[in-house]
Amino acid sequence: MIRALAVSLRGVAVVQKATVPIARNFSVSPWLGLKEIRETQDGNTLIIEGVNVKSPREDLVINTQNERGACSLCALGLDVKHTDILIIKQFLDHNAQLFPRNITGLCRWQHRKMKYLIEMATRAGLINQLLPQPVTVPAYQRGWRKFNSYYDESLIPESKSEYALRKNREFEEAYTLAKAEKDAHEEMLRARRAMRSTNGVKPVQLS
Amino acid sequence: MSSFRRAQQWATFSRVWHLIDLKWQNPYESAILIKKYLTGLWKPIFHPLNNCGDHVVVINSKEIALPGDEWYRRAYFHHRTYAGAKSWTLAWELHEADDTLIVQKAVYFALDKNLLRRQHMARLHIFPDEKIPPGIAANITNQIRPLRPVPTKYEEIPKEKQAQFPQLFDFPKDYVQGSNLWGKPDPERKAQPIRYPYKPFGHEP
Repeated sequence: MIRALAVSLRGVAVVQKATVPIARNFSVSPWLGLKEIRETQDGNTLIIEGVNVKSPREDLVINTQNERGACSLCALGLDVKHTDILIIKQFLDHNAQLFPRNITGLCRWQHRKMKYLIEMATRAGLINQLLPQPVTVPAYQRGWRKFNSYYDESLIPESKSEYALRKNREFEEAYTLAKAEKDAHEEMLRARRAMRSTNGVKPVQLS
Repeated sequence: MSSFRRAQQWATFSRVWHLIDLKWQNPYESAILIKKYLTGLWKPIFHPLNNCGDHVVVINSKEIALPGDEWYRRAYFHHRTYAGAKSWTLAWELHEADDTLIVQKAVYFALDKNLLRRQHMARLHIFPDEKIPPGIAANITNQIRPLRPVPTKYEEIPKEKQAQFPQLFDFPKDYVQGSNLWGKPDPERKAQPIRYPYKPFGHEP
């Protein structure tokens, strides 16, 4: 069994990490998927065929289709931490980089959050195995990095627009509170002034 | 008095030995937890002037975890009372020199500042790893639950569990595994004409 990767003629040395290095990569069609070349001997005839390989995660995919069109993480309502490496690992390619959104189907918010989670997991040393070049610095040169450190997900900065919206809402709430307080104070002052002008007698409202 | 109540009273007046595992724990968060047992705050006979504290045995103090960049941001001050003899030691440098000192200082800072503080500290036994002397291990009757879960590294997860874990998305049909250029713009694509030519306001003919 040989595994071959077909690439386009446009890119020269496109595939840096093929499953099995083969003599030459060429095809006339734009992109072809991962194929497996099978050789079967049937009497005097040798049958060679290329079969599309089944995706390894085909049976494991959760159905997160919903009416609102939310992304998979939003639909499940998961609170993903940087220690949940089996979830984070699904969004990493062979170079431990985050897949683009057209592959993962994440929304902007979750994509941004996932970027920070990957960085946290990398710094905490939880996904060292997945990195293309594993850290090989000796312990006496690593300084503080040889000790454990963890990260807080609540410190992930929000996007600018969300931050502005939140600040605006906070300001409006504070403004309405202060205005109500000021109005009540002025009303009290006005009542007191009216009392003083009428020499302690409540003013009679004449209709 | 029932036998249970009698035993409860003995336990109240005796010194209980607790065990806590500080693997991947923040020492400054755990110190507040340790303080409760070290001073005997959980006992009905507690009083700040009452010397009713328990023993706490801390293991794996070498594998404590600090949040974020605190290993090189937190500094410990020391002055040897000579002119110019002050020093600031970073947390990772102190931990390199002594595996138990950060935990010891964290508990010492957390305790109340009174005359009992040294006596409480004398009942704290810190060990850098899981090895406890048998004389101390024989006394332990209780284990304190750590505050945060210990994370597992990717290589520590068994292969069967990795293979059976549910996935959140599947690759597109035309996805080429291992290629760096999938989904990137075509480098040989010609520049396309702008669909909506720029027409600034106020300059219309």
